[in-house]
Amino acid sequence: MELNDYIHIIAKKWYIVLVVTILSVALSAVYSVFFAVPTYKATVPVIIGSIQQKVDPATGTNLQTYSDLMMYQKLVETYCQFVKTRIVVEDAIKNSGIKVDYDKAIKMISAAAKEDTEFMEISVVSPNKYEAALFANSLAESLKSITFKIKNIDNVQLVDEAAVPEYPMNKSLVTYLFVSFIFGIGLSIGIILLTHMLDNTVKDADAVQKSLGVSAIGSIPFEPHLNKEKNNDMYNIQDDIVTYHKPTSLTSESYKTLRTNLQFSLIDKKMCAISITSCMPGEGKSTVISNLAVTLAQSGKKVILVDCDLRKPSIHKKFELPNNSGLTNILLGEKELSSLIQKTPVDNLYILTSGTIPPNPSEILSSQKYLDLINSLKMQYDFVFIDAPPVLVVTDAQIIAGNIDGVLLVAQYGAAEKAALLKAKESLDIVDAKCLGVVINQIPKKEIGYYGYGKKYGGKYGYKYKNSYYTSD
Amino acid sequence: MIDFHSHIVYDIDDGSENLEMSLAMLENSKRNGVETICATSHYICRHFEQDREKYFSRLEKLKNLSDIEIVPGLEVRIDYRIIKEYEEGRIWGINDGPYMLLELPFTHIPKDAMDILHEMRIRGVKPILAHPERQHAVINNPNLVQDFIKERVLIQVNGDSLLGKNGRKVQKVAKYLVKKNMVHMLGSDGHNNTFRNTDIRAAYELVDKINPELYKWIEENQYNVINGEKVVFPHIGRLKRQFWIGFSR
Repeated sequence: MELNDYIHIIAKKWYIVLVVTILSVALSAVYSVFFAVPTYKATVPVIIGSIQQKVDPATGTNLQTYSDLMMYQKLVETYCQFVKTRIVVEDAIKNSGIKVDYDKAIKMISAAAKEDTEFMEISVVSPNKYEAALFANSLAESLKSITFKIKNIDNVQLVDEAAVPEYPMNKSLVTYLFVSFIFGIGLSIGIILLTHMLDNTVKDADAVQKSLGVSAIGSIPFEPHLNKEKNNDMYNIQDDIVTYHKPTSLTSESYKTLRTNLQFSLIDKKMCAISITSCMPGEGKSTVISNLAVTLAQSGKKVILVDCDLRKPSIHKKFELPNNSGLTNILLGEKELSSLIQKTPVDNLYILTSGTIPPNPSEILSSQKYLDLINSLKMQYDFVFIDAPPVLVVTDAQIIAGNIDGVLLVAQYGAAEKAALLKAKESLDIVDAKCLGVVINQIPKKEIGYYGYGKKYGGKYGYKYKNSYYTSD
Repeated sequence: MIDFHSHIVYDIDDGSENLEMSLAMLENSKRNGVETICATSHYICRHFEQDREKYFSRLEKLKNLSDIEIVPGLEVRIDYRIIKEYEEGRIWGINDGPYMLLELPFTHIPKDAMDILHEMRIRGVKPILAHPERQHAVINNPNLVQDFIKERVLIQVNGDSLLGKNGRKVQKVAKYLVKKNMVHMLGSDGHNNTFRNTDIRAAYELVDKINPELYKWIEENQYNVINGEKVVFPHIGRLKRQFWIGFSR
């Protein structure tokens, strides 16, 4: 994936960025205005070391050695702990007269050594700045006096008094907002990219090519508005045969592209039978193959559509045809083939419906009678399209695919999983079926521009010239 | 006001027993302000088959004695045999037109119900589903009615169901269907002049109260059904999700 793709993914979900960022900024604003209490920090420096000079009584020179210095530096750490002991803190509380108990006070206190020196700093954080200074000073004094009491050495020297802090230690509102803004943007981009990575459904023609080794030869957009003008005529082809009702729509154009691609991949074949299947039910097999058959018939080919989905037949519903007898009745020898092939309002398109649903579809589809039927249809028609059940659910699709010239795999955008599609491809490979390609179905209309020809170039081409150029067939 | 469902023809099914009862039922309909009543007698294949001549002779007799218009019709139980019966002309629709009142068995929806409806539709029948609110499967999941509407089946709901005479569950479902524009006509399903009578006015008033737009739609379209003309379905409202399917019986 290139940077461009990432930008596209993020731009597509711009509202998540907006919402998360606004939320984070608002939260931090609310926190800093209403909940953050201003706190003050008072610091008092203390030197650890004896005030009495060790003087050589004979020469009068200073006897403080390097090891003394090192000792005091080490001692600073000890005093840092010592200042937090109960005896010191409680003494400081008593001296300063502040109304806190030990547990609370210990949380206000921090003591740290200044690196490689004998200095230590005692800091007190409190919402009251005078209290902070007073308590810091008392702590330093208590440390001194208690040390003297316990160790009998005057090792703690006060250097300075803690000043009353002027400004609170909290960050300003602007800082809060800025930090939360950056955090919000980062978080939202993280969420978007993570969900994108975790999404293992088919969304991209390149990904299909890469994982399956089969190219996506069709991208069918999803245009629900085409079905909005409800057609209540009771004896007509149903609305989802868009190529019949709206031959100039974007969807119909994409079926024409699919038709062209299909014809190229079958360029050597004179007559052929093609089946269609998908991983899971409801991905749009019947709709895609019906539309494809209509498109091919519109281009002048003689096409027959056979409903071999003997589990849940639906072609007769799409074309509003009776289905009291059909394919299975021919195979049982009840009826003649020629009497059951039905005409449709589309010229050159004929349909053989499923017929009575049998209890053993797989056996019927693997029978010699069925193979003879398909072969005889191949002699009479340019294209034989066969609608099949989903391949990962029942074995019928494999049986059908093994005996014909090619299979199309339908994958519903954002619903078919890549792993499932791979499994479907493998199960078709087992029976030596030729996978002609994948048709990605129900692509949201705003995506078709990105993965198809690009909005930049295609734009509204199909619409602009629909009256002059594209109505030729 | 049209009563799309009644068993007003006497001595032919479990409805009216004799001429007097039929006349009393018609009188009741008139008091309710009904202008047209559909005489939809039962038709169940192999169990309860109507003879065309017998039916129409009794209908004629009633027509001559009544002030309100009586339209022929049948309430046909859905069964795969009705396709053939229709082709042979042994069953007839409302006003002998394309609209036909069909009923499901109360206990379950047969597996092939949708296929039968499809085949009937292909053959020129415009199906009307009678009182789905009293069907067990629909009571458990009222959204099933949507599947029928998608198959372009009109829905008739019983007036007494809406008023709660068939139980609270049934009433709840009926009101839900009215609310979501999934009802296209009302019928009294009157069998006699006592408990299952031909009252319908209160139900129509209730529809007007719950969903005035649907009431308007019914007023505009009801005679299209009688005359066998095309109707355009109202849009289905946003359906409630049924989380409890599988848990409740």
